[in-house]
Amino acid sequence: MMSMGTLVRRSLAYHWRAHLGVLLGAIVGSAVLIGALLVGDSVRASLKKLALLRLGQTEQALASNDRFFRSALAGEISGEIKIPITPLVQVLGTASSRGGEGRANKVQVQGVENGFWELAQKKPSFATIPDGSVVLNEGLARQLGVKEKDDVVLRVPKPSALSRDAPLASQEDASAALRVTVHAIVSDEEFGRFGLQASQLPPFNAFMPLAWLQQKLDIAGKANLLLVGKGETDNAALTTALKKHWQIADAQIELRDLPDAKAIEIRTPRVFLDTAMAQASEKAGANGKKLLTYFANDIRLGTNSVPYSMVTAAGEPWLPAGIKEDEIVLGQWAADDLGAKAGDTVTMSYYFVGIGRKLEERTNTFRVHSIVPLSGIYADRSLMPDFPGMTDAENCGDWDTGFPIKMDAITPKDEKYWDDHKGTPKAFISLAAGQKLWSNRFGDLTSVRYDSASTTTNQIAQAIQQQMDPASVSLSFLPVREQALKAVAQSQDFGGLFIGFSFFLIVAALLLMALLFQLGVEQRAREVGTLLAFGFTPKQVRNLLLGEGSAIALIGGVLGAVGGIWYARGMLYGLANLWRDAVGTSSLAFHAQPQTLVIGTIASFIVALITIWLAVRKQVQRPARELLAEGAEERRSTLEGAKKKSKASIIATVCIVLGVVMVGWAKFGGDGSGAAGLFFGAGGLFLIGGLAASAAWLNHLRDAGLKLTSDQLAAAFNLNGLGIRNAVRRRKRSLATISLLACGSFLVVAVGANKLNAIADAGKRSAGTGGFAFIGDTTLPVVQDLNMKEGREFFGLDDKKMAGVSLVPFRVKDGDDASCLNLNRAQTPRLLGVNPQLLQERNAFTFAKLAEGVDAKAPWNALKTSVNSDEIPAIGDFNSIMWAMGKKVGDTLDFRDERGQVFKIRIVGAVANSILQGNLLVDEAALVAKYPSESGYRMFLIDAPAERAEEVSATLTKALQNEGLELTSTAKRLNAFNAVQNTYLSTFQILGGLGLLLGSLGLGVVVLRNVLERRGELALMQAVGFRAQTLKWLVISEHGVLLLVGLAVGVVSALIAVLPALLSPGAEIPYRSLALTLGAVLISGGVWTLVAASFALRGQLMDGLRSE
Amino acid sequence: MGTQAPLLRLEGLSKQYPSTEGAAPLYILKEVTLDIAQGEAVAIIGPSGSGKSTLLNVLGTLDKPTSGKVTFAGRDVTQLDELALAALRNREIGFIFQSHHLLPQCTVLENVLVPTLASGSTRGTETVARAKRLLDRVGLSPRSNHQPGQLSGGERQRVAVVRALINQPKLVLADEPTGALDRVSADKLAQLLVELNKEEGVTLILVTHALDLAKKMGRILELQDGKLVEKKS
Repeated sequence: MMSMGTLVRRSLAYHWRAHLGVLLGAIVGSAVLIGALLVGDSVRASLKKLALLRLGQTEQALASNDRFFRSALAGEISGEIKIPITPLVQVLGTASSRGGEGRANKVQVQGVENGFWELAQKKPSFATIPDGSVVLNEGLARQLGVKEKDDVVLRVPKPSALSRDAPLASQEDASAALRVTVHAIVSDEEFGRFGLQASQLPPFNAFMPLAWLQQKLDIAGKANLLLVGKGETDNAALTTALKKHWQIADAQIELRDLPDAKAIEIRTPRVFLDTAMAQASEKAGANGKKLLTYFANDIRLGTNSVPYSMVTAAGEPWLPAGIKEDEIVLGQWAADDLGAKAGDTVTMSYYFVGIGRKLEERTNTFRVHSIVPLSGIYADRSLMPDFPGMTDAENCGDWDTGFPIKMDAITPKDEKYWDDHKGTPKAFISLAAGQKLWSNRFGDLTSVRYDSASTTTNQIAQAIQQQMDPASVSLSFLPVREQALKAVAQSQDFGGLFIGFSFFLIVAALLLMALLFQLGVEQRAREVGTLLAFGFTPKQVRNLLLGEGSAIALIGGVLGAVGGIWYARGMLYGLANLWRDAVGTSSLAFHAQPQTLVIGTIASFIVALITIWLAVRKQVQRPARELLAEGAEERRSTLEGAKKKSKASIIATVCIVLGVVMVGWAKFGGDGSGAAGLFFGAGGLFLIGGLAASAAWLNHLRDAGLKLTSDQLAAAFNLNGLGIRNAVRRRKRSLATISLLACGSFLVVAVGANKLNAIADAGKRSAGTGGFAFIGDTTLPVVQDLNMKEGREFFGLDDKKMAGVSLVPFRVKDGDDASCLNLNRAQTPRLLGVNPQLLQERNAFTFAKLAEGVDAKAPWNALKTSVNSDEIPAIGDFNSIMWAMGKKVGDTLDFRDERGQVFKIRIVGAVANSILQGNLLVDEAALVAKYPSESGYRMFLIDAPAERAEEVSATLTKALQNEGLELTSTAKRLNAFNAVQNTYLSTFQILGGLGLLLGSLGLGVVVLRNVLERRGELALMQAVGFRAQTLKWLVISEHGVLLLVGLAVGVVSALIAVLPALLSPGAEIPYRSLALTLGAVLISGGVWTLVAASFALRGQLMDGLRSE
Repeated sequence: MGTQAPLLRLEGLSKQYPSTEGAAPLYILKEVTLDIAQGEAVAIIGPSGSGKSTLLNVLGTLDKPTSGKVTFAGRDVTQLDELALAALRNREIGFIFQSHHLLPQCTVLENVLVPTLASGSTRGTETVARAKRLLDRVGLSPRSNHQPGQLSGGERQRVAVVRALINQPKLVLADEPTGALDRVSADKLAQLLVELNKEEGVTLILVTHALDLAKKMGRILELQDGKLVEKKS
């Protein structure tokens, strides 16, 4: 029969019109909230789909980059663990088509076997790729504008065991051009998206037959990537199998039997034995003899000179025990040529192996210790390592070295020595002396020899295999699928992002809902009074109202879930089309997790219920007699009013004073690093203070009328005064309206003012462009120094055209793009190695934050300061560090170096909004120490005279075409990054604007309700002679005040909050769109007020008077 | 009145309202002392603004006196907290307002039963039967499933009377119950109140400025300058 539930149901049914608005608010709030969460679901699911497309069935991968191992290793491990493993050769190259008309850089060129396609989600239609053919992915085919049977030219670097950075490395024949025919074009599902880097952007992929590519690159039987398919295994099992099957050849270690020398020698085609090899060789056998043979440009005694000689640094038996570091043993041939004898002092010049391949000749003097005959152990031509371009040369003229040979310095006698003895060393120095002169990042030994009488090659090979961790030479499996899923799981939280964007819209919907519900309850004040009079407790009445509210909130939540689906679809459409700059992909598909819908609905229900609870909690606290006597009339005592006024005044004063102090501190105190935060905090305080001041003002106006003297009353009592008095009559409603409009305009203005434009101030060193004209990326590394004459000559760059041009080159250790363009969480960000001095002397970029102890006057020098031996200091872009890496200044990140050792990178500084986004910058010296095989530079910041910028761009692009140079103006690059932030801000502005319009609709509701409640008194005013038009103006003016006060408080506070942004370089204040938004709100508020006033004052007002 | 303890006793009851700053407080009731016995029908009359409704609110525990004591069935209600007062109002007091204050969303029968929801314990068939019997008594049986909006002013007020009686209160307070009715309806309602007072044995205190209605009550008190003066009926 009759129960509380019945009463709730009856009330819901009876007051459905009043509840409709509340329900609408609940639906909007719920739809926006759930929609935002669904956007998060959809982006995450889309990223997961893309991640699985790029990996296919791949679970683990072994990527050794520039180190090539036996491709047979794949079959050996696969046979052991019974899981498909396929070998690949993967190199980065460029592609061109139609005579260079179509061009693509950063193309992943892969040599694959048929097993590769078995890992695809969908196996392509072709059975195999014929030799001389290529399979392209859709993106590359589109970029090149080619179809099946068209020809394309791929330029790929030829793998070189010796780093191209080494001065001795040949510069010729560094790349190979492959003309191939397009056999097929594969879709994303057919593994076209294959790639190991976490990004939602598809790479350019070209696939060729493995054997054919190996042959073209002179690396027959070699691979540098293994892909492991699905199966019952894990990383540990794979590592065990790898340790069992790997061979020293996989680490590029060679063992040579030297019968003449009665020795077995460890050497490497990389020339220098790296640390891991050296350590393993030490343990491989007893009494290993270490050798370091290097190339001396010149050995001189007075005017006599011996050009271009091998010199071996060794111990016994080549050198007597106790030989000093400044002593040299000359071979008889060299001694004769120099006319040297024991005790003479000779000078030796050689090329120093520094960070880059810059040719720096150094000299050292030695005292001749003794002369040895060119026989026996001193006539051993195998002491010379396999310098590419020299070992196989028939004569000196055929030498193909990485440095210029002065052929006129080579005499027929020298030529004869080469003919007879090839690279047999002409001199010997102590190992310690040799390592001091020639030790470099690649290693400090060229071979180690063991006595063949006491060991065998097999024993040494086994010992190395046992002693050496394959990971120390980049042979280790990584759980790439697990990493990809982790990158997706930690990806940009679009759910949270869109909740943030939609925050004001949600708040506006909830406030509107609260306002409407409160108005509804106020209308039912007598009903509440009656229930209280009949003995209902306030709690019971509140529960009754909450019962109604919860039903509305529940229905709103459920309908909102449906609305949320459409809202999410709309947002995804926006992201894939209108706001594509923010995500860089259109591959976003709607995806809803059932639990998200449930959680979202419950959350919306709870939020709406709390909102309603807040709205009704005060309504039932008023005494029944008041509710019965006065209905909805807001009533309070003078004493209560005085207390409220005083409280509001105190809050206003405190907030505004604190705000002024914060502005003062930001401007004149501190180091300016936290100024932006202080200004924003001050803006927030001004907003709160402004709202509190508005509350105090409303109280004051209300009370002031009671204290006026007759004269004051006569002066103040006019139509405007009456309008203002009316506005303060419903103080809470008026304050709610002001608050809504103030908060909305604050957000819209504050957000709008943060839009960035890189064009402004792009030339300044302090700007996000660093003041550079261009940023360049190459596909193939550039080992030459483009700031030097030799480097420019190598690329045929004209001095005139390059006048005034200087470059800051960056070494690149590839990793995940940590810029805002990558939606995945960067697991190992890309590292850039730079000479910090080049940036410091330019004072480039503005630092947003520095770690403690970093000199703010020379922040780039912090890269040189070793924090401690295990940590490398790094600087990055503030946004990348915070958002893409999820770190902050002072934090560390773990990296794995080329030898498999984990090291830490500590972030010591962050530059503000720059083109450096996506990377971490470290000292070049530190980068090459950790990744010695990374050769050359692949990124450049370029200074060029503004008036010749276009000419410089064209010249450089043409000269470095084969390296795949892509030059972009720094302003354009920065704008591409800014577009992400600006797009997000636009999204926020659009949704915030919608919230503001909803807020102005709330104003209309307030006007309507106010006027409807006052129809009687307005009728009375008409009865005493006021014209209808005057009354309408009265109503509009009194509510117009609320609109103007709300907007003024919000806009002024926002301007204070974003003052640093307004004054910062690159700031682009969208005055137009802001003015339009605020104008729209003003007009919308005015229209709603006019409509509401007209509606409420329609018909015969006098009827209202009669009904009183 | 006999020696039986009064149902309601007012002792030195005063009520004043604070005025705007500087002005003297406004005294509505001054040292009112009164005993009302169980089953009495009392009319309180007086000019507009004399404090009749204020007195009724104090008697109905909807307002608190500034000073003095109100004893209801032997309990000093001025010492009770809000929850106890709500329970007292629910079980012991019925209200009839000048405006019926029926819930428009509920039927006639449901409106009558609304006060029973507050106690949450006695909404059995017996209560419903009592509601129906009372509605039948006031001639509204055929209208029990109608909405208040479908009733005349007099009918609505009769529903309000039944609602006031549903919890079998000891005291019914009526504030200008006929004020919004036409003369015929007013007379009918007055007659009904008198009859129910006798039938239900409920004490009735009625505030009115209609002298003819007051005269139908057993006792008439006039509020003059904040004090109650006994009038001959």
